Amino acid sequence: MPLHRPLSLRLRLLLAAALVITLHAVGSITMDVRDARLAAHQQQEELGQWVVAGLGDSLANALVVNDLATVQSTVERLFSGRRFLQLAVFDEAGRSIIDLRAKIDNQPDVPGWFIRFLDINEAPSKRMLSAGGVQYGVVVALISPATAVEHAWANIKSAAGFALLAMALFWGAFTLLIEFSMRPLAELSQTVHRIGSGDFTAKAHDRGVPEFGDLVRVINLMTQQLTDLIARTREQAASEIQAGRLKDFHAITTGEQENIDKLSALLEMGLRHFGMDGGAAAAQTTNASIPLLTRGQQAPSDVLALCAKLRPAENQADALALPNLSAADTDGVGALLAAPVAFAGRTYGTVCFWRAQPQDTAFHRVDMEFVNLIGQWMGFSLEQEGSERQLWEEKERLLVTLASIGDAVVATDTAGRITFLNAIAEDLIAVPLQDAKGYRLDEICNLVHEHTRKPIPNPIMDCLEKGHRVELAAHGALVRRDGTECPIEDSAAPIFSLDGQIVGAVMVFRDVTESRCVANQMEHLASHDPLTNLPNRRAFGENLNRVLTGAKCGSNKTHALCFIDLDHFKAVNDTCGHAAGDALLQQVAQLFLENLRGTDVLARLGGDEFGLILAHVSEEQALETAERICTAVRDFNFGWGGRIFKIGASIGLALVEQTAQSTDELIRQADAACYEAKHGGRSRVCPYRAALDQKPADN
Amino acid sequence: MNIFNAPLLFLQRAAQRQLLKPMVFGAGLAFLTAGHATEMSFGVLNQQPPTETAALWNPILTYLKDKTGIEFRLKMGATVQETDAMSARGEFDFLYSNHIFDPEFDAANYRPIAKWGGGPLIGQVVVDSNSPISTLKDLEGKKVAFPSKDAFIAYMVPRSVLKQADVKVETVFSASQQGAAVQLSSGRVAAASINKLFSERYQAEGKGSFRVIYETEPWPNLPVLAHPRIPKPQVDAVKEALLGLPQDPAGKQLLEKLKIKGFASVTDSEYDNTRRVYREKL
Repeated sequence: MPLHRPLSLRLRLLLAAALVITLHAVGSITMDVRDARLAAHQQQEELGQWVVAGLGDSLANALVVNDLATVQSTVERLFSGRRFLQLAVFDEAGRSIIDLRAKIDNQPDVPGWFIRFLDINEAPSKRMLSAGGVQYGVVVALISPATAVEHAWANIKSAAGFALLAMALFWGAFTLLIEFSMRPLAELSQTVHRIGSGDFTAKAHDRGVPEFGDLVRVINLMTQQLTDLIARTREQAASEIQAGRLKDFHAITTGEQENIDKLSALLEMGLRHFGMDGGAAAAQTTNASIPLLTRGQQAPSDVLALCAKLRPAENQADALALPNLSAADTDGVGALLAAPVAFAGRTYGTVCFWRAQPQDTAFHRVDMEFVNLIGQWMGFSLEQEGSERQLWEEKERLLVTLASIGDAVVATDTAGRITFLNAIAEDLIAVPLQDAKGYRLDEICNLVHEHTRKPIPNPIMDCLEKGHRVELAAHGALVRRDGTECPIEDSAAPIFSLDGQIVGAVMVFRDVTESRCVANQMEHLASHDPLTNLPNRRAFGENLNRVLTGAKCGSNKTHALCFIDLDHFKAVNDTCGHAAGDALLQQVAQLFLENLRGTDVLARLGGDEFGLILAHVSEEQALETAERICTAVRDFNFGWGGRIFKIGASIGLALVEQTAQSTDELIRQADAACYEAKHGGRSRVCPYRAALDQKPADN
Repeated sequence: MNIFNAPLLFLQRAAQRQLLKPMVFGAGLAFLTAGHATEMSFGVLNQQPPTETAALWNPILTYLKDKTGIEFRLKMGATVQETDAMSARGEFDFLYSNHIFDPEFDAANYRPIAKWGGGPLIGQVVVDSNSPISTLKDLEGKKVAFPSKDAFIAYMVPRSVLKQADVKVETVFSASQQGAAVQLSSGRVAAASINKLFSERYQAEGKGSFRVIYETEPWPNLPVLAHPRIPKPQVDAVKEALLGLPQDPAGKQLLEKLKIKGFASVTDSEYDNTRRVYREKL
């Protein structure tokens, strides 16, 4: 195979374009190089001529008056090693007046090969210095080629840069042109493929260059002719069938007992469909003990035996064709054409066409295809009927299951739109299935956090996005359209098709009102003092820890911790009993709460000790609150058994700042301050000071 | 040229030309020059740049050599002052100058043998053709360019006239006639004092457009002088060749080529007035 065969047309065009562009660029650069070389030579020569011409007049004037000093100074002034290799003046006898030569050879900063390529002639420029026919001398200038070479090199680099830029632009333009030009060809190719795969309705469109137009017309013409040919062939085949090549044949089908009625009906339907309804159809079970079920002419009994012999042919692709049977062997059957009733690898029986007279010629291909087609169609019909029944049974089983389980089930499509609700789900959502169909779950009810009341993500959409099972966030609650709600727990999972595609989702959830209520009660009991219903020491510790953590995390607000110890509580308790003590504690707790904000945390730490956390307060605000509490307790009269008791509150106050070390340290500070208040005269507020650490901390 | 070869060379040239008269004349000249150096210096006053001076005078000197057999070499100083100093020292065998009539050069004792042809020497004070200046009085306090302080017709004479008219100007010396003309053309000075002949040629070449506000009376043109050390036969030969230019075909061709009128005979007394002007400078 020639090497160029694997190359696509696009690649060939691109290669051709690349070749043309490269040749053009090479040609352009070559021309530029040649021009640069000529220019360098010309520059070298012109510079030499210009120098000697410019020097000529002044040097001649000086030589006429024999002013050699002026000659020398003029030459020395002009001479520079960079520009000249030699600058000299000789008198009329050839004697040197001044002869300056460059001491070092200034190599231009260009590659050596370029200098060799330029090959600049270093012949000196001369001018005779004469006046009135008398020669006074000659000036000789040998120009250094460095300047011309560097100039030429710069020109070449610039030209090469432009050439490369032009190459890139041309290449881009060619690529686009080829891409646009090839697009109609690709479309044409797709059309031809469609035609090749049997879609004769495909038409090629004339969108390309004129040559494409011709091709498109030819292909469309071919397609049209092919379509016509196929149509004619079909018509011929139909006409052949219509002509009743098998019209004088009798049809019979065999199969299992359970299918025989269906087979018989299908055969009859098929024959009618193909215009062969002549009462020739018959059906027969494979087991020959049952007499033939005949319609019209009765089939000979040994057709049954023949059909039994055909069993091995059931797996054959083509029909069994026996055009010329011996009457002795077949007991009256002269010609027979049979095919299996089968579909998708499952065989249901046999369909058979027969007649008494044998025929001289082989069966026509169309007849064999027809019998095959009848067999396949009958097999397909039986298969489909079986599948539909299985599906119906499966669906019924599923619906019964869903109706039986105690959880609510919601099924959706891939867009999260509801397609099914079971009875429990209808009750929980309070929307019947027919109203909910086509809506998303969040359009007919809301899912919120039980405590924060913030919406929580729809688990159906969540699992559709993630492609795996998801659980509802903790403390979820379902809010119905009428505003009522119930706590729920749920999960959602996507439904996958056989090929792994998500085709929908199912969400299962249940009402957890009772269990959630019990859990909440248990939690309250564990964190509250049963006497005062205030948070207990453990809950207070957790609150204090949270406040301290917030303070350490950069909050610039201060908080305050107070320890409150009731004064004279023991006297009430000892005098009037524990019941009085309990009543006093309940009343004092209520008194405290009346003087606090809703955000302040008051807890009973044990006995007559209370803890108080004042969040986001300055020291002044904290002292003011503590004093207010102290005053309220002082003014409070506790009555019991006809007696009035005066009590007080000693309050120690510690600030919770960013520098606070730990909750233990804070508690110790508040405790120390409370001790100071108690021992400083009771019924007072004492803020914590470092000096208090010097005192004993016993109560 | 070796002096012993000179007669032989001369005879060879005479034979080539096949001219009897020049040969007889040349034989006599060869005899006369036998005791002297064969190359003589010919000094020319710096009126133009040296190359232009050489372009004018070298063809004349070549012609003289052909006619007299004497090898001439153009010699001049880089400046007028240098040339005058060389004149004073008698370095030139022949000289074309009128500065020699300055009393300070009397010792050199050059003698005129011919004068520049084409009429008398006339000096002009010119201004730019668009200048508002119309009289010498208008030059009061203004810059006026002169070739040099030794230029006779372009400085000595007009200076005397300006002095008599009591007009004081700012003097600008420009090294040569051309230098003074260029100073005026470029607008650096209000007026220039130059030779009439030079002025006409300068304007004819399109280098400037002047208007004359003063013109001197005619003065004898610059002389060609001979140093007294030169033997009379050689002086006469040179004089004859110069005066005979228009009559000689080769000389006529030369004059046409150089666009000059040739030379005219002269007497020493023609320059008495010139000497007087120089003396007045003193």
